[in-house]
This record gives sequence, C-alpha cells and structure tokens, in this order.
Amino acid sequence: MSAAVRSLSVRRARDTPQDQPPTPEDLLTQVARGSEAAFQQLYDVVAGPVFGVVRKVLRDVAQSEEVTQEVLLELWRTAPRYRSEQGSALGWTLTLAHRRAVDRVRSAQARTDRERRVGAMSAEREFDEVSETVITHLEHEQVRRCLDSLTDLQREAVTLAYYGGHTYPEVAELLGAPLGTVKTRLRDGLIRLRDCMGVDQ
Amino acid sequence: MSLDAHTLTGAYALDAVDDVERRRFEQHLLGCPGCAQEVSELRATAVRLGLAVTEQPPARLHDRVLAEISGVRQDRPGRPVSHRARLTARRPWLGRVGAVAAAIALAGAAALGVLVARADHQLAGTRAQLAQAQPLSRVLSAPDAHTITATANDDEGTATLVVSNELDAGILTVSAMPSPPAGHAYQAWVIGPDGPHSVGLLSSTGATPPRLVHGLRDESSIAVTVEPAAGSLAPTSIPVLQLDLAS
Repeated sequence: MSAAVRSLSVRRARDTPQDQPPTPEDLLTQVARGSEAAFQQLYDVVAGPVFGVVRKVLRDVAQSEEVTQEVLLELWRTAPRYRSEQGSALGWTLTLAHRRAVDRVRSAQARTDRERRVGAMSAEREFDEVSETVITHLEHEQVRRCLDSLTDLQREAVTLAYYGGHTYPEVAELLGAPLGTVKTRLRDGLIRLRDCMGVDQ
Repeated sequence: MSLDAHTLTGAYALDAVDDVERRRFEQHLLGCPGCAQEVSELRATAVRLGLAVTEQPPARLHDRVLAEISGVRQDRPGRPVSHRARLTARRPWLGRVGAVAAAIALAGAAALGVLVARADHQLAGTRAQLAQAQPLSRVLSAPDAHTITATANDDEGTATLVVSNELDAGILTVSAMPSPPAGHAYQAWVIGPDGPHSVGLLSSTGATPPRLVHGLRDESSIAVTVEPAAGSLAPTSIPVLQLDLAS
C-alpha cells in the first residue's frame, strides 16, 4: 500500500458533504471493489471486535491471532458477496469471526476428544471460568445490565454457548439440565437480551 | 413451522449447533420466514455480546494481514458458477456481451419454439404467451440486461436468468433437467428477506418455457426444488439448483 493511495482515500472521505467518516458499510463496499486503502480503514474498525470474540472463545493468544488473521483474510476475499440485507458490516464480520472461532474449538476438540474431558470436568468450574471473566470485562454497560436481567439458567446457557463456544448439548451437560430446557433457555434468553438492548435488526 | 424446529433459533444464532443440525435448520429456514426473521434478530443480539468483549490484537497482526491481502484474490459477487467461470476463462473475448447474446438467442428460440408447439392445441395458452412476449422482449433488449447461470447440484440441468435491474424483472429458463420422480414436479422459488415465493411449477418434460419474474431487486436467489405434482406452498425439499442473484 503506497502512502499516496492511502492519503487519497482519506482525503476523499473528508470530502463527503457532511464531513462524516465513511461507515463500515461504505468501506466494505469499497473493499468489495478491491480497495486495499478501504480495507486498511476497515481493519481499524473490525480488528478489535474480531480479536475480542475469537480470544474469548479460544482463550489461547497465539491461536486467537491465527484465527483473527484467517477471519480478516476471509473478510477481504468474500467482501464482494456482502449484501446489506445480511445486516451491518460489523455484524456480518463478527458473525463470521464467532463461527470460525467455534470451528477451531470444535476441530481441536475432535482431535483431542475433548468432549470426554468436558464431561468429566466439573461443570461448576468451567462455568465460573467463562462467565466470570466475561462479566468483569464487559465493556458495554448495557450488555452487562441486560445479562444481569436474565434468569441464572438463561445467562449461564447463553454465555457458555456464545463465549464458551459450546454446543447446546455440551451446555446441557455442563449445567446438568435437560437438552430441551437448554434449547428453550438459549432462545428465550436471547429474546430477552434482544428486547433489553433494543436490537431491531 | 414445527415448534421443535422453531426453538432452535437461539442455539443456531449462537453457533451452538453441530454441522448436521445447522444444515438441517438452514433447510428449515428456507420455508419459514418467521424463523429467518427471528434468527437475524437473535444473531444481531449475539453480535452485541461480541462487541462487548472487544480487545485490540497485537500490532504485528496489522502488518501481517495487510501484507497478505495483496496476494489474495477476491471472490466474484454471488456464488461462483463453475460453468460461467470456465467459459469466460477460455474465451475472454466472449465475455459478458457474448453471454447475454447467447442467452437472448436461447430464450428467444425457446419462446418461439413454445409458441409454435402450442399453437395447435392450446390456443388460450398461446394468447397468454403472446401477451407475455412483449415484456419478454423488453427485458431481453434492456440496456442493462445481463445473464446469470447456475448448474444443478448434480450437474444435470441449467438455469439461466436474463435480468434487467432497471426493469426489475428477469426471464428464467430452466433446461436439461432429468425427469422428476413419478408424481412430482419441479417448482421454482424466488428467495429473499421475506422467505421463498413460488414462481410456479416447471414443465415435467425438461423443456420449460421462459418465465417472466418480477420484483427481483431485493431478492437473494432463485431455487428449484422437487415438489409433489400439485406444487407446494413452501419448499419441502433441498433445492436441486440455486441461482444467486447477487451477481
């Protein structure tokens, strides 16, 4: 990337009528047309959220870096397929990031037959480890407040699934709850979060 | 929608299902607009959980990623179509214009063939076809008309859509499909944010008259499924062919 190209794109962004910085959607549209300068700006927007989610699921820093890199390259490669109906550019990217982190966790699990160890492990400890770190590090006050508004079972199930990267049968095993109950709690827990956070997309 | 499938929206939005269940549920989503809407809301909710744990990656990642993208080729918009990709690669001069011309010839010939074949015994149908011929030719001659092609999953059968974004209409031609199982027929669907809408049953003989499809602007794909001969209100099987409109 040459400095000239980069400054050109910065200048163009400043020339927009409202003097607004480009939205992630604008940037992704430019990335879809092959703009490396736009990708550089998009990187600054999405790298933190992507790394945060991947790290939360994988925990290991080296692996998280590796998966974050894969996700960002996939973002570059698949940008031409993004359509606004699929949600915000950031949401699209984070959905991809979570999916890839979970893929990694599960392929590693398959290799080491981790399911067995998960079964043997104290559910208590596993849950504490995940939800403690998550709750204390939440940057969004609103998310923390909304998570607090869930029932214990809803909150435990949602955090183990999303931040822990577990399948719902694993969550059921960890919490010692029936499969059908966990499935239902994941859904009504998320619905409650949606309403609490005012997600309308 | 079955209650059981519907409760999976939460687990699905959180990626808490295995691959098999995910595929099965995505199939279910095709025919359940209510579920699809809920999934997109719950996914957006999960994204908020993700944003809450933002953490800056080590600075070295920045340079590594930016160095690497210049060597990575980007996908084509929409689903890559192997047939079209091969054609263009072999004869670059043919390009888009050639493909459009070929499709126009194909669709035109098929329309004429249908008109002639039906003239004898289906006068009413022929009138309808004639009434349709005007919009057909309008789409074919639209300055922004372009062609999207898809091959069936098992390589038997092709769908070609000549589409004009300006007219918000397209002409769908499906050809060379194997005969559907006894008592079944092919049914075409337009799939978008509101779920699938039937475009109608396709002829069971494999040669289907070109079909005018309106209102494609916000839709994402056209799919063909095998359905009971009388047709279905929503797809009940995995598409044998899917044509991505994002191209």
